[in-house]
Order: sequence, then structure tokens, then C-alpha cells
Amino acid sequence: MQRQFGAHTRCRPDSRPAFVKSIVQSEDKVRDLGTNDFQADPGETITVKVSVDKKPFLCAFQNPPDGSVWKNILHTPGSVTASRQFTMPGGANGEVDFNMQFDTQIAAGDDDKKATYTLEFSGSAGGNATRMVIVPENAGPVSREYTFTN
Amino acid sequence: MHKAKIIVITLLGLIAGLGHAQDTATSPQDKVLNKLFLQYKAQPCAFSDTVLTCEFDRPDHYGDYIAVAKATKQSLMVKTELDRTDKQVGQTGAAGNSSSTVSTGSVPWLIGVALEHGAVTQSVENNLITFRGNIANVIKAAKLKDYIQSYRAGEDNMFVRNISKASFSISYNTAQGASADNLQTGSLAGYSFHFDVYNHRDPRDSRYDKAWDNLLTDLTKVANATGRFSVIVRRNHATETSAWQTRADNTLKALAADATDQQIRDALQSVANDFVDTFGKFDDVNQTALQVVATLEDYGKQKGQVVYRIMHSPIVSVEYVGTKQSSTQLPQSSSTLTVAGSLPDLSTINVILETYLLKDSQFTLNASTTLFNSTPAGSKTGNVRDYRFAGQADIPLPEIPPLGKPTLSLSGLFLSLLEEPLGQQVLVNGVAQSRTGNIGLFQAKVSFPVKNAGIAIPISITASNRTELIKENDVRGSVGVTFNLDHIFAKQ
Repeated sequence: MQRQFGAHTRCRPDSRPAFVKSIVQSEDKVRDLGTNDFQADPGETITVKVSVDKKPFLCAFQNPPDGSVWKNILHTPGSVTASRQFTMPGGANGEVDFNMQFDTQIAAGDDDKKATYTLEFSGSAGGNATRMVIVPENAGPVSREYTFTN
Repeated sequence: MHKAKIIVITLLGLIAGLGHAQDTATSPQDKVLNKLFLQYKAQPCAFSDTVLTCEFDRPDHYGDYIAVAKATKQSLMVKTELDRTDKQVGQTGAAGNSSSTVSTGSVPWLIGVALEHGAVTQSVENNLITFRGNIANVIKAAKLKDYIQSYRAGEDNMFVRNISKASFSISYNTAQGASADNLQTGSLAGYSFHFDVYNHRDPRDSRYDKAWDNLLTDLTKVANATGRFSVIVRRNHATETSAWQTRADNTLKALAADATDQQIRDALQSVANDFVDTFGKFDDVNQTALQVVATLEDYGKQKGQVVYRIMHSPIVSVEYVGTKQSSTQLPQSSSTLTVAGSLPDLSTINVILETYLLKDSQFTLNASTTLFNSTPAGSKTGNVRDYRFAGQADIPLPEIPPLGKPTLSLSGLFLSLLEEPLGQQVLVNGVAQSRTGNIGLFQAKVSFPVKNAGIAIPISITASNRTELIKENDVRGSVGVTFNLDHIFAKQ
């Protein structure tokens, strides 16, 4: 299967009836297109929330994201959560990409030799999607790339 | 004495040979591949009928791989994880029947098992098997799920935090033959409780919050460089990217659900090598890949410093050791040793300081006193049996690829025996002899780990001016086996 990079091509052909698609689209503005590709409305504000199940919190965002800028960045030292927002471009065929890096440092006394990061993407027009990133001991930093298209 | 020389020469030969072993260490490409393999195992690709869920057909995973593949000479990976040499599995050194000179500050997370023969300060013929573990984690391993959850959130729970610092050990004597006092094979030889008064070797400790947070600046640089690399690949070489992705997907799809580790590794290596072949000819890709590696190296160094600070913080522990002297087996080689009456059990209180000297060399200091549980007849000093001071330096040696990293331990001990060591007059061939006085001891030990198996094989040589029961110079070599079950549970 030849594919171009980007959101639409990572999905198998959508065989759902047209009325189902329209209902889904009207309910979920941020739509999950598989792997780390999402669809959002032009001008929509996307909130990205990250949390990890154990300290230390070692999660970094590409700054700035390709095609937009971060705003409302929230994270305090020692916290296991962070959140920030970006706005989709206004025109058609807009795309925002950003890389994220996840790492961990497992304590010698910790039997769970991995850290699990949970990401939640939510759009101002509605809809959300979640992703898990598992960082095994000695395997970090783990790279992830997220793509939002109109 | 001749035997001792042979043992020393053999030990020195082994240590000298270790330097050459490091030359065949894993290549930078293999290290990157190892990371990808671990990441894949944690979150494998899923090719369902509707949606592709696969991270490993994306260029951002291969920035460092293509850079190290293109590099002609360098080892770009930075070791961020320090190998720990501070875990004690065997009987605590404060117990007279231990083959270790000192007790270390840390113990295995779950359960350690050690087989030991003899003791450093006693001429006894014991075979000891010691189980050592952490109270909180043994409870957790018993599948009390709520407790596991509370442990993970346990930084805010004083009870959980404190019980996690406590550990125990139980030793059994497996010796056969004659005994000091009606020895029974399999009898309890001793037990101990260990509590960390000061131990901040935990990356979750809030005192390191600021240091971890500062590290995010370097991690952001990795994200920026990786993001740039990915954009260069995808946008400047879209056709090649699409074709490579298709081939990568086909390779990964071909992996069976029950693919072996080697098959997964081979598939990832095939995808990564295809990436190098496809994009390695483009200067823009190579330039940005080098930036990815440079930022990863900087991040690794910074993280290594934080880890170094954590792992090099001192540990202060206190330990109580109970020794059942009735299970002690007296030597019966050249003369017959007997005792006048039943032997009192012993209690040892030990204070342990563990810190680092140079680089990764760890230094442990013990100060302890041993008390008789009942006052020996004719005692002049009451219940106090001895005072003991011991020091040990643990020096990590270069890695031997098929085995792991051995550790050289050099230790010394001064023991002042105020009373007869057994609490009873020792009779040599029926004649009463005093065994009080001072003992000096030196031990050199090399511990060989069996990689990823949780097993270590310590080989040691010990020299002393006398032992507790025999007033003659004593030089001996010993070989042991220790099992750290943490590794087995970690794999599960």
C-alpha cells in the first residue's frame, strides 16, 4: 500500500455509510485517524494533556510545533502532569506536526520496570483522543510524532 | 600458603584479562537497535483491518541509527545508568558466621538467596543458605494489588515509605556432621532486620524534582532536532519516504504474533538498515541526523549527572542480627575443639555508612558490637562480646560481554574480642584456652555476575592474623553463589 505521509493515508478505506460518517464528524471534531494522526477543524484550539504514572516526569514537546505555536503551557517541577495548547491554521489543508520525547528513570526498588505516559488530545470544538506511551527501563528517550490536519 | 598464592595469582590474572574483554562491547548501532527493540516489545505494531497502529515505520525513530551507521568512528552513546554494587544478598557481615567482611547499605528489592561456606572471622565449617528480602515488597509480591498501588503512590504515605526501608534475612545451616552443641542440619543459623535511616537513592525522591525538571530543557532540544529530522525526511524526500514506509510495514506485518525476540530484532534491523540505504545518500538527512545524535548525547550526559548524583548519595542504615550459636559447627581438623557448656545466642547491632570515594567506587563502613543474649559464666565485661570496625571498597571492573560487570571488593576488619567468642571456654584437646584478643583481617573478592540472570559468583581470598577460635594465621579462598530474584521478577 503506497501512502503519502499525513493523516488520511494511514487509515484503511472508510466503509461506513455516509450518514454514520456525518454523525461522527459532527460529534467529534478531533478525530482519531490511527497511530498518531488526527483531524481537526481549521482554527480549532487543541489541548494536549500528559501524565505519567511515576516520577520523574521526563516528557518534552518540540518547541514550537511545526505549523503553530504553544500557548497556555502548564507544568510545575515535581508534578507528573503537563498541559499546553495550540491552534490549527485557519485555511484549508492546514497541518500541525510536533515531536515529543518521553523518558524515565526507574528506581532500583521499583518492580514495574517501565513508565507509562498517557496523552489526551481534546479540541475546542469537541472530541478527544488518548494515547499511551510506554517507556521501558533503559529504552528512552522514546520518540513520538503527532500530526493534526484539517 | 602455597594455595593462597595460587588463588591470588589467579584472581590477578582474571582482573588483568578483563580489560581486553571490553573491546568487544556492543557497537553504537547495536545499542540504538537494542533501544528500538525494547520500545517495540513494549508497544508492538498492530495491523488490524481498519487502522494501522505502528510507530516503527516513522522516520523519527531512526535519526540516531542513521547517524551512527554513517559515522566512521565514534561511540556516541552515553551510559546514563550506573551499575549498582551496593546490594548485599548473603548473610550480613556483622554476623560472625558470614563470609562477607562488611554489611552494605542496600539489600535486594524482593528476595535474595546466597550460599556461603565458612565465615571470615570464625574457623567454622558451616554451609549457610541465606534468604534476604524487603518486607514491603514481599507483601506486594504476594499479589496484594491494593498494596502495590499504595506503594506506587507511597511517596505520600509515611507507613508505606518507612516499611519499604525495612528488610530482613533468615539464614539456615545446611552443614553435615559434628556440631558445637547438638547441631541439627537445616537448623536456623540466624536472622536480621535492616532499616535505612537515610537513603535517598530513589529518582522519585522530591529532592531531585528540580534536577529532573532542568533536564527537560535538554530533552526539548532532542524533540526539536528529531522533529526537524523527520520534516526533512518526509518533505524533502517524500517519494522515498512513502516507499520505505511500505517496505517497513510489510517487514513488520510479516512478524508472527508469537515472533521470537531474535525475529523482532532482525525485522527492526532490516527496517533500520533499509532506512540507512534509502536516506543515507542525502546530505540534508545526514546533517540533521547528526544534530539528533548531538542532542541525544547532551541529554544523556545531563541525565547521567543527575543519576550519578542520586546513586552517589550516602546511605546510613542500622541492623540487628541474631545469631544462633547452637548451629555453629566447630572445626575438627588438627585438634578437637569442644566447649564447656551450652552456647548463648548472640545479638549484633551494626551501624552502616555507605558512600562513594572515587568515580563509581563505593565505600562502606561498619561499626558494630555483639552482645551475648545471656551473661556467660565468669564474665568480666558483662554481655559485651566484641567491638568490630570494618571498611570495604567496591570497585566496578570493565564489562565482560558474555557475563556482565564484575566487581572487585577490598575490605578490612578489626575485631576486639572482649569475651570468649562462644561465651564459653574453648577446650582444645580437652585443655581450656583463652580466645579473647584482637583480630585483623583483609579480604579481596571478585564477584562475577551472570548477565540478566540475577546470579553472581563471588570468589574471595581472606587473610587474618587469627580467627575467633584458632590463634593461628589463616589464609583461605572461597567461592560462592548468590541469587537476586529481583531480576526474575523484573522480567515478568
